[in-house]
Amino acid sequence: MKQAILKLDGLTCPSCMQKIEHAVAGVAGVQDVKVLFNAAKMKAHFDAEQTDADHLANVIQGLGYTVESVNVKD
Amino acid sequence: MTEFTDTVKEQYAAEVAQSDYDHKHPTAGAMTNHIISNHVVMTNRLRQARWFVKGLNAGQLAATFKATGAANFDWIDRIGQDLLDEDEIPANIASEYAAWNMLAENGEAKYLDAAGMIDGIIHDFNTDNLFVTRAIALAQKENKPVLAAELTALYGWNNRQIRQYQALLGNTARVGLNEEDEDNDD
Repeated sequence: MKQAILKLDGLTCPSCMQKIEHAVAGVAGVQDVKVLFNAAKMKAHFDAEQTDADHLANVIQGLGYTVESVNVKD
Repeated sequence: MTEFTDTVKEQYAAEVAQSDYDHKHPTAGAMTNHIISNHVVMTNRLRQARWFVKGLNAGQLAATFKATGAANFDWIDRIGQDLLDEDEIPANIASEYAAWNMLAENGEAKYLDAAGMIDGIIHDFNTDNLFVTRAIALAQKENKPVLAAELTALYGWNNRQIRQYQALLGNTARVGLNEEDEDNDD
């Protein structure tokens, strides 16, 4: 499993971040989604054979929110 | 039953459309409506705690919850008036409060012991502050200094409640509340 760390707009509404968390958790191959409200970050582990971090960012942007950066850790 | 004219319906439809847009492109007004909704739900939680608290200190705690609830109610009105002053529309119906609050309201909480009730209240104030700090930044960005100042005062009041309720549990202000981000992954 790899870990995606997505930095959102620092002013994203905290309840929107919860909605984002639920949307990302629904993507096949994603596990352990965690939202850090103060840091405006979302962290998720994912199976690289089923999805990738850019797809997760696209899911968030498709909801109408801004993703400021995408990092991946092995 | 009250009949709403087409003009009234159009006014409300326009308000809902604007509210949805403001939420996705966050504005101080939209974020402040989350805060009002949080505090409306907080009023219910404090009343619930006052009605159902048990134990040797129940009377004293009920009085404390009542005093916090009364002050909390005043904040709802103050912040709502500030939004009206800025030509914004404060949340004012139950469905808006239900949709926009982010607190942990539930019926089970009435059966908690006093410490559990207090812990829930502390976490609600802490959750509310997530919105308050964002709303302050947005109000400053939008050049709304009075709203920013009022929200800053609310932030101070929330922090005071957190510290005082934590003290009842034998804790200092931030015990169990700070977000953990162990990685340096920016």
